[in-house]
Amino acid sequence: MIELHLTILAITALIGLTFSYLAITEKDLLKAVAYSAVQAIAYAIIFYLLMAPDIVLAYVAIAVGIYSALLVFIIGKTERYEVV
Amino acid sequence: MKRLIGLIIILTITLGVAYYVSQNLTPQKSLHPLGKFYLKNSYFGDYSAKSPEAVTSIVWDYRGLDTLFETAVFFIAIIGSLTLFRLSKEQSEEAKQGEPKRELPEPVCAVTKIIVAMILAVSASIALHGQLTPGGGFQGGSALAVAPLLIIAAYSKYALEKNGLDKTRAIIIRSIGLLGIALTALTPLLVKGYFMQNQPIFPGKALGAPLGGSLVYYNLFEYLAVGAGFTAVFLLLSIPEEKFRKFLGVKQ
Amino acid sequence: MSILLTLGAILILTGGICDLFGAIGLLKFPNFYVRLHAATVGTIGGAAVPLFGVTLLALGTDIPNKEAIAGASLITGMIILLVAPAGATALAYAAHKARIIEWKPKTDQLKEARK
Repeated sequence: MIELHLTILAITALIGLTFSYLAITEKDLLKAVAYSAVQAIAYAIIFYLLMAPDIVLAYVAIAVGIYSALLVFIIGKTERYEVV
Repeated sequence: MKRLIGLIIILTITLGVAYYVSQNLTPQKSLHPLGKFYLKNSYFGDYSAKSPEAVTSIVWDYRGLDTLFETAVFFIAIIGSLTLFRLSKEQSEEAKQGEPKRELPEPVCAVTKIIVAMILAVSASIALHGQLTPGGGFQGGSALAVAPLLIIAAYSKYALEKNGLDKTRAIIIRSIGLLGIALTALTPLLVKGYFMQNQPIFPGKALGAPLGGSLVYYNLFEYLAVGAGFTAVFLLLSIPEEKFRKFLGVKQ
Repeated sequence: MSILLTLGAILILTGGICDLFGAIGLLKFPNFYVRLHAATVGTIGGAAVPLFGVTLLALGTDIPNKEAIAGASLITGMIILLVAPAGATALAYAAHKARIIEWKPKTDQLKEARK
């Protein structure tokens, strides 16, 4: 049973890493917010597997809901595309 | 293509480090003594917090001062964002002028109503059962803050304000929550206890349900404060950009 | 082999088939709206229906706390049943409003209603 949990843990950690990299390098900021939400879901699964349900309850609401919404509000007030 | 190369490099480094670490890892044989203390004492034991949930009793009882200052930091952040958006009385009256209208098709709005009711119920149960099951004031409050967000997305912020939840009221509810936390922390001083003491000053049980002494009060007030603080920030952020341009005198 | 177990297994199988069709549709369908239809087939058929199947399965077995598992999966299934169509409607509405999708519809009633 522990092997299954550790495998799911490794896969979700890699998914989270990939999506956080995509969120950093993305030039379209709305897409970057979506990538960061996916990363947050992966991390929520990790927290659940590591038996921290308290953190999951706060993390899902904040990182997927509130944080994404705040960023979308703020992107609505500025430009959509990142200019280097 | 450049992104793909960077991704492959990062994945390779991570997997390599993980493999190296896993070869040199010695598993922990015994439980940490502090952890043993918490598990033994959180409900039974001599230093009981009268709560079956060890995490909540650590957060608001054994390590209560830490949480108090964390809460203070969070609310200073909210005060900072409220200060950035401060408006005069006429300006905040003008920001409220607007028609509450559906911004999305009808089925979406109908589902939003049902989901908002569900979120209110679930967040209240997360916060008020914080001493029995995983969860607590902060978790419940941040779940509560999703409800006004959905209403803003589906109906626009004027619907919230027309129904009585404007910025001032949200800040008042948040202040009531903070005041409640402070008063609950100060209450033990009245009966010669120490700051933030839990047992045996607060009742541990009511109607057969374990209350966890002061934990249920802290959870309730934190729930109100976090939910209303987030709501105030959302109400300010959702003021349309044209109105802000007018307030600041920026020419288009 | 009780009837609840059989029914639950059939529902879960249906969910798998719906998921497969949704995935194929997402790959093969021509434009956004039709792909959205495939995605909703994948969500409702592939997530809500198997959860109802899990409800029946849990009620049919003798595991401890089976009512809790059944209730939780039933509620989750009902929430998905509510939320998935609403999300798809909102997405289609936003895409139609932004006029970013190239398509050649036979009729476009939303456009006619807006005139």
